[in-house]
This record gives sequence, C-alpha cells and structure tokens, in this order.
Amino acid sequence: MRMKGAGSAVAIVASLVILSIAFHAHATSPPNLSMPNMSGQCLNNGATFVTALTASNMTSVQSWQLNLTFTTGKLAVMNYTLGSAFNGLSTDSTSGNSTSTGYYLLGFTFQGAAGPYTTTFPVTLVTFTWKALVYHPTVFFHIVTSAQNGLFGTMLLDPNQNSQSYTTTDGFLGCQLRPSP
Amino acid sequence: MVSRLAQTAGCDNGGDYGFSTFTVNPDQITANYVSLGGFSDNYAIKVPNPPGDFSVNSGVVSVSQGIVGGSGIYSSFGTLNINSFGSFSSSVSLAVGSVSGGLAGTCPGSNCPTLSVSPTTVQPQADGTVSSTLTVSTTTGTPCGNPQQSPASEYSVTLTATSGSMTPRSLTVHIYVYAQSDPTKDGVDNIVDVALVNGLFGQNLGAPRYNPNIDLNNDGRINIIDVTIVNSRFGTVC
Repeated sequence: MRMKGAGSAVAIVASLVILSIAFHAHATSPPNLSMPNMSGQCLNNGATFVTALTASNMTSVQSWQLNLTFTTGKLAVMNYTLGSAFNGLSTDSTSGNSTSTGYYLLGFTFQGAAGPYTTTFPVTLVTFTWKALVYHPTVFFHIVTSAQNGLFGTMLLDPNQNSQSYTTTDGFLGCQLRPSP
Repeated sequence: MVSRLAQTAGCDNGGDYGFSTFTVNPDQITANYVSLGGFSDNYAIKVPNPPGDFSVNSGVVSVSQGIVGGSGIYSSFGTLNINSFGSFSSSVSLAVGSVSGGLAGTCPGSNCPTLSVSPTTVQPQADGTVSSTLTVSTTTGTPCGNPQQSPASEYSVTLTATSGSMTPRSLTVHIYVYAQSDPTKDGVDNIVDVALVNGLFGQNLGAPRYNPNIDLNNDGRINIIDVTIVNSRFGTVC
C-alpha cells in the first residue's frame, strides 16, 4: 500500500514536470507567421483565389506590420480582408502594394484603449485575394522579416511599440510540389 | 586651470640675503620672503581676471514639412543661448545667415527652410544665460529625411553674435526636416508611427495622455486627421 502510494506520488510529480515543460515551451515559443503551401493547385489564367496569413501564439500584440513579397508577373493584387480578431471597432489598418514589383505592405493597430491581442490558438491576420495572370502560375510568397528590412520588414509590436520576436513560414502556389529551399 | 603648488624660487641674491617661497594659484601669486637675518615678509602679486566674455550655443532644430507653430516635435522652434562669463553683461546682437544644405537645388530656393531669431538683441546678466527663439519655416515641398541615413537632408545656417568691438561669435545651427507623418524621426513612415498616433487617438490638449509630438498637425487634437496623415504616407521614405 505504501509502495502504491509512493508510486502514485512519483507519477503525479512526473506528470507535473512534463506539463510544466510543455507549458513552458508553449508559453515561450514566439509566434509563427505562416503563408499556406498550395502545392498541386493548378489555376487557370484569370482565376481568383485567396490566401490566409496566420499567426500562432500571439502575446500582447498591439500592432503589426506585414511585408509580403511574391513572384512578379504571375499574380495581380486584388484586395485584403483583416481577420475577425482585427477588423472590429477601434482598429486602424493601412496598406500599400504593387503587382508589378510584387509586394504587399500592410499595417494594423488597435486604437486608443483597445487591444492588445493575445491568443494561444492560430489566428488569421489577413486574407489576401489574388488573380492569376498566367496559366498554371508558380508563385513564391515570402514574408520579409525585420532582420531583412529593419524599418519596413514584418513587425509585431507590443503596446509600447517594442518589437516582438517571431518566426515565419513562406508560402507557395503551383501545380508541382514546392521545391526544397 | 593652474593647480595650487608651492615652489621655492632662487631669489637668494648670492646666498646671503635670504630667499622667497612662492605659492601659485589661479587667482594670485603669494610670496613669503625669508631673511637669513631673522625677519620675514609677505607680499602678493595679483593677476587680474580675464575680461568678461560670452558664448553662444544651440541644439539641433527638428521641424516638419509645412508646419509652423505648436509645441511638439514639429514646433518649428529652437533655442539659442547666450552665456556670460567673467561678469560679462553687455548687449549682444544676433544675425541670421543664409540657410544651406538639403538636396541639390533646394537652397537657395522657394523650398529652402527660412529662419528668424527673436529677439535680435539680448543682454545676459553677469555670469547668466539669456535665450532667443529660433523659428524655422518650411514648405510642404521642403525635402525631408533622417540625416543619419541621408546626410544630404540636413540643413544648416550660421548665426552671428556681436557685442561692441569684441570679435563676433559664429554658431552653425543644424536643421533636420522630417515628414509630418514621421513622429519617430527615423526617416520612414511605418507601423511604429501609425501605432503611436492610433495609441493616443482621441486625446486632446489638456488630457493626461495628450502628447504634442504625436499631434501631427498641431491642432491640439489627436484625431482622424492625424491618423489620415500617418496612413497616407505609410510605407514611404522621406
């Protein structure tokens, strides 16, 4: 009986340690900004389609800036829609884009006392609508980081305008499988 | 500055009449004569203070395109200080030279910043400081930028301060012109500028969180006009 009790205690402690490690890893891992991999999608010229840029594990994000580049000559920029967490009252967004040079720069911020935003679940930051300009386009989407472009790279800001760290996953569209980087 | 020191000098007149020890400090020289015959005497050689003098100084003046007035980053105002030394308290006249710098062809020209100083005559109290206000005016077409990134975006002007027959003092004032939508003054309009403005959205002059540096059009209200200003230039470099 005593052995059984001791065994249970050890199991409980071990479970707590595992949970603690798992929670710690989850709580400290930075957000990942991700564009989808649309390998095997064969679009006709003129077809429109959407891509969602998602983020996981956001903590106290008051504002964000997204710099997305894409292969030129294959797509036309149509419009964008903010994710439901970011299109309410007391928000502001602004953007610039160019089909010819292949970039989309998007800024979002909560206004006044609104925000910041925290979630442990994946959330859609923005959904882009595109139009194929060629038959079976092959397009690489690249999330430009702040390390690559200090002032116009992608940023997640806390309420004091401090930059937060993050990771990125670039996107792909094409009939074929995505080539290895 | 001469530090205090003691020195034995060779005033021995052949070794029979004694010697003097000298103590030197910044204000005077004191000598103590010691006689071999049994008496001593003290005397001082006083060095007069240098005549009164003055200096001028000013910091960088940061202004925005097309804005005049207000109290924030984009105030258009700078301060020129006239400092008195050695009891100087005479009248000093201030004169503004022509502005130079900026992108090629900007100065002289209609988009070149203009500068005035007021008052043009000041009189500091002895060993005090008196200030005069520099007012810089720009147009919406005045080339702007962060001089740390683009040195050509820096302007400068030479101010001259004159007092009587003294040699005039010259001072070069540096002028940085930023975009109206760039409260962070880093030369670009990005999400940080947008977040700063939106973070204080709704704050009016007198409110605890009102910040004149974020009131981009200097109207005492951080409102949709300021948001529009910062949004309209989002993604641009100045």
